[in-house]
Amino acid sequence: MKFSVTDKLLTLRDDGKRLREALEAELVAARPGDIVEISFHKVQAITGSATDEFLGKLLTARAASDIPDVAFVLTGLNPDVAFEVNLCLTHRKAAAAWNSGKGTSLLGGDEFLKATFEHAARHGEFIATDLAQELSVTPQNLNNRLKRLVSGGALIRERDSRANGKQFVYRIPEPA
Amino acid sequence: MPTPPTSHCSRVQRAQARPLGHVGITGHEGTTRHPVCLIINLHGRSPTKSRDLRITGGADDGTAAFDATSLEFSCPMDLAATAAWAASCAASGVDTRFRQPSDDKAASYARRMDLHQHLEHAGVRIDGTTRRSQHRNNRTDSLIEVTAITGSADLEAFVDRTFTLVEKRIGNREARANHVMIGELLENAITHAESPVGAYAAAQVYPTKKRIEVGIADAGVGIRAHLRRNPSNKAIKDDIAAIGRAVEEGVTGVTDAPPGERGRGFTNLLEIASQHGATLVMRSGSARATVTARPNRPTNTYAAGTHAQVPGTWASLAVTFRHPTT
Repeated sequence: MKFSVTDKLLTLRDDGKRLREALEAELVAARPGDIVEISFHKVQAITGSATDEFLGKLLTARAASDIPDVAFVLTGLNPDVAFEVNLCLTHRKAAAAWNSGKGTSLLGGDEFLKATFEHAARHGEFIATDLAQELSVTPQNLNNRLKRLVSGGALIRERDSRANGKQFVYRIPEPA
Repeated sequence: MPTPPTSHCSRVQRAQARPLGHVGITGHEGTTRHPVCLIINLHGRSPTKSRDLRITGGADDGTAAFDATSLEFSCPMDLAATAAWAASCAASGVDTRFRQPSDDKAASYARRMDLHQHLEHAGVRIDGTTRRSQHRNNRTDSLIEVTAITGSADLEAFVDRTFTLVEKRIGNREARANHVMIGELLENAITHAESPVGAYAAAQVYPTKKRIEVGIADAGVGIRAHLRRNPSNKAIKDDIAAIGRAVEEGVTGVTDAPPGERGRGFTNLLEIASQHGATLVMRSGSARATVTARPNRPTNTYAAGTHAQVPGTWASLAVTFRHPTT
């Protein structure tokens, strides 16, 4: 599913609210595990307030399971829009996957989540034990990080059919 | 991405404003009663930025006079504030007059910036003779005339014009940065001011200096009244404390949001401003604050009381753009 932001300039909180409500209306038809691409290709600039009202509240609602358990990937952000989104989500302790066309990274979160996501993005698809060794963290620590990324919609988690569903496999959300 | 500044210096000078008896303009908290006789002296250069802005009592004839006869140079905030306050006075039924600058250049600039047009539209009388040399001169496209912002359509038009102007005269990255900064000021003016006549804005670009100055003004409830709507701000007793606190992260007059969620508008503005070089001057009530943001330096806020007491909130943001580092 793709949601395109068509405004060139986003200024007020009300602009962000309008977008969030429009996206939430479309998410009613979404199924858990769906990937939702939010495209900012036409956006030149967005204020922190509009970002917070749009993405900040959207991802907070996602983490609280107030909206369907979909994954989000942001695309089309210019460096300045990416800066605002990163700033806003960092303050909210939320995070989102950003596909810049040159790879996928994390906006928001903290240094630990960013490092985790960076390693995860190199794999694309992985199981937790693969990453724990790379990051030199305990499985419990890693699971906590992965749980945060999944609950915020920045990472997809599915039962691994190759292991009879006894473990989870993780994937970076990619646009269609 | 650039690393945002991590410290903020703040000085609050608690000089008390001397109220001018019956010409004081703040009434009950959350409302603005307008005086029935006063003279706002728009003297010299950028008078609304000056801590020496003078508002004096006039003859007891039920008028408000904006006296620009000795005005030498006006910045965008001068124009926006004059339009907002005069329009508000006129809307309240006060006989409101604007005395034109004697200086030809100052008079011509005010006309070019459509100040007269807005004043006349608001029912303000224009005093003084317009000489041929003072007529509206068309100039190169480096300014945004005084714009009344009463709703989303006006706002959209203003930000679009400003973006286009900065993009054309300075650059695209600078236009984006400018939008983020002025957007936060406009949010405050439109959403929090509660002004019956809306807000006014104007801008001037200096392309060779890669600089823009934007003035945004309303004659609404002012910062103190807005912040005190939130019970957590009940300790804010005066305009100096209010204006000093307004630029702090997490301070908000909004009451329908979880704690910590709001109050980041100025923080967002200063994050971008500190990547370049900016000075924000604000006035509200009897207080004036100057916030300076420079790359790799702590943001510095200086707030002090003034003798002049003004309605609503006025803001001047002057930014000199640096080449983006990202």
